[in-house]
Amino acid sequence: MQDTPAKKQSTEFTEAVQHRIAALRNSVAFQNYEDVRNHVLRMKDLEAQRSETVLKPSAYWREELENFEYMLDAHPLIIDKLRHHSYHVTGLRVYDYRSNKDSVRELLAEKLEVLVKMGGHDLLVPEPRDMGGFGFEIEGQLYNIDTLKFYEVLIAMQRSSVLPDLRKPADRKLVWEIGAGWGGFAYQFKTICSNVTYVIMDFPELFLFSGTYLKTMFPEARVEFFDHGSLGKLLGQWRDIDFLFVPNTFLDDFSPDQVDLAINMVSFQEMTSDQVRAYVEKAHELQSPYLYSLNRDRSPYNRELLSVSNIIAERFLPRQIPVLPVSYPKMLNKLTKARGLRARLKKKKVTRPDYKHIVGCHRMTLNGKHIPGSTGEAAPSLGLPPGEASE
Amino acid sequence: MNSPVVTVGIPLYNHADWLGETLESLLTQTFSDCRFIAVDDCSTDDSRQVVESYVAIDGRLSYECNSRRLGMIGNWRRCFEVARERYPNARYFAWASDHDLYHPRALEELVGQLDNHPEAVLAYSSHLKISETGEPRGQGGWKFDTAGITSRNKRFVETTWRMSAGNMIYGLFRSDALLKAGVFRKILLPDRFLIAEISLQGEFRQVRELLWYRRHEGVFSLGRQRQSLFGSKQPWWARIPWWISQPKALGWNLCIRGTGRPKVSRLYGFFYAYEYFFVSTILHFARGIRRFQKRHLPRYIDRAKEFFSGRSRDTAAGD
Repeated sequence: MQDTPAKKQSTEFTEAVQHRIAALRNSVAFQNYEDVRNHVLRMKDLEAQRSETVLKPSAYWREELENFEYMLDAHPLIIDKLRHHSYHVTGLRVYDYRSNKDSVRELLAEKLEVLVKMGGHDLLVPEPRDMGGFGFEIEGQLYNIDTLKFYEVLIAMQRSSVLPDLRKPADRKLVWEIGAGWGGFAYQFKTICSNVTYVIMDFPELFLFSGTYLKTMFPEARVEFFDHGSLGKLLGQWRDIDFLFVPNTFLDDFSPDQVDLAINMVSFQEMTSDQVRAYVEKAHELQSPYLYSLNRDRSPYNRELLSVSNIIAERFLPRQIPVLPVSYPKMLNKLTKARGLRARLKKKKVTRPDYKHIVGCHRMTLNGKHIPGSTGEAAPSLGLPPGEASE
Repeated sequence: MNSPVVTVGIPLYNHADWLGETLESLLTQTFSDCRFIAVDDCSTDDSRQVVESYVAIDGRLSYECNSRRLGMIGNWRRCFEVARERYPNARYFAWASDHDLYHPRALEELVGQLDNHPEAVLAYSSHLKISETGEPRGQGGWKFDTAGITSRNKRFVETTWRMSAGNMIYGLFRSDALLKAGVFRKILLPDRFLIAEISLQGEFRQVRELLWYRRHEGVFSLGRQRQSLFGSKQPWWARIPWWISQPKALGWNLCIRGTGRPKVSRLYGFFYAYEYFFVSTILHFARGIRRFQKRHLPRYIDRAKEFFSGRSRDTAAGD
């Protein structure tokens, strides 16, 4: 008996889907995912053997991590559209960037224009279309809130003279990002500063996003994952590595001979004071000249944290760098755009952005402690021996 | 004793609260071939203790206190004098404020500018104004330099019109040029006068990144400046408007004393003084108008609005 046309069509569809899935299963992205997953599972096993540390996920984060447990056994179709699933980390959904949202698109384009005036095209890296990249199409490129957030961060780093040194091709630098989410900023940073080893320290589960994404977007890069006993060896040869993934619970074992910049975006604010302090002190101990932070002083619901900037100030001299008059998730409005006499006539105070771009510069210490006011203790060799100047 | 490349004078006066952070930001500069000379103008707070705690750990920093209060001009001059006495061969000199913050790469960048551009006499960076608590005020990023302007006259005119002397004065100077320009003369707005005079000797170069975070307290006023500049004894000429006294002083230096020679002849000196008078007068009155716009105009507009809205209500009630 012959198939009816409808039944034939349905089979064709099923076959096409199966064919596509089979192709995706063999794709580079999925193979990268499988490789990353193996590393993540090993990291989780190693973590389980470790004693309780202050850096274990809080209740809030345990809940968040459970939400994307399915990523431990993801289908090739999910990996093909990995960026669509990164809303677990970043909160951005594809739905919000559909083509019928013209008014929002205009606001985003306006914000982009203002940022380009500040930072130029040199630092602008649009969202790639690969792996389900999404956003509003502006001048032929994709842009979303995250793209602009990262661009804003790069502008702040440029203005505060942190970036120029890292862009020099002469000597290799090490950048350490604490909590890299889906790897979007690492992608932008590595695109504009190619001679950099980018170390990501995060919950292992999040490497399913960032590891897979970065491995796929930089196929030529050398990507390494922490494994039992391997960290010392990997850190010994960090200059040959492009991306290195280290679980956050292994912070104590992290001791490269050089760190040129430590970065945290929007996760210090979710941590406890002890956790933030542990990272800040580690960055200081590793002699990182700068610690960059884009955070609120405290998330409104986080009662276990006093103030991000105060904790940073314990070890780094913080400087707040203004970029836009609004926080990164918000769009510019009439009030924030008003200038000069017009702004004064409005007489309304423009509220300051609650997310602050802070660049902390390494503070001096005396015997491991912050010094002001302290005298009579042995002097570390910061410059010349005491008394030279009065000779 | 080996001479450092840079000497930094830190005039101190009653800013002990922020002094620790300032000194830290200076002592952690990536350019380390420098000496820091803190000269205290008889502070009544803990400035001495704060500086001495840092002197104990870094020999590049030294402290001395004036025997009597000299005022800002006297103290700034003293900083330069001490630096010249101790390190006469230091190529560059800068004044550092006792309550601002400096980026670790500030000196490295400025030294790089002067090293790479022998025609430059002053290098400075963009800056960000910050409040007492460190919050940024405005966007920062003010821009001005005279890089590439070889004509002395053009450089002088550009500078007198567009300079922001209060910011540029904290840049890095070529020591010899600074000495030739008279360091910090006893005159109202001495920073403006110095920047104008030194522009005759070479170019200014600006680093566009924010390498200096300037803590602002209160609003500028000539009355306040008179008090802080001259200490307890205010000379009679401090009462003469700056836009008259400064061109006169410039004329005196260049035409009569011939301090600009051989580069600037006495005759040209006269023209520069005249030019300076012309620009200063216009700027003075333009500033007056801007100040009125900024401080008083919104108030008058509000009053007018209130007046007219009140009248329209009265009219409506009458109807």
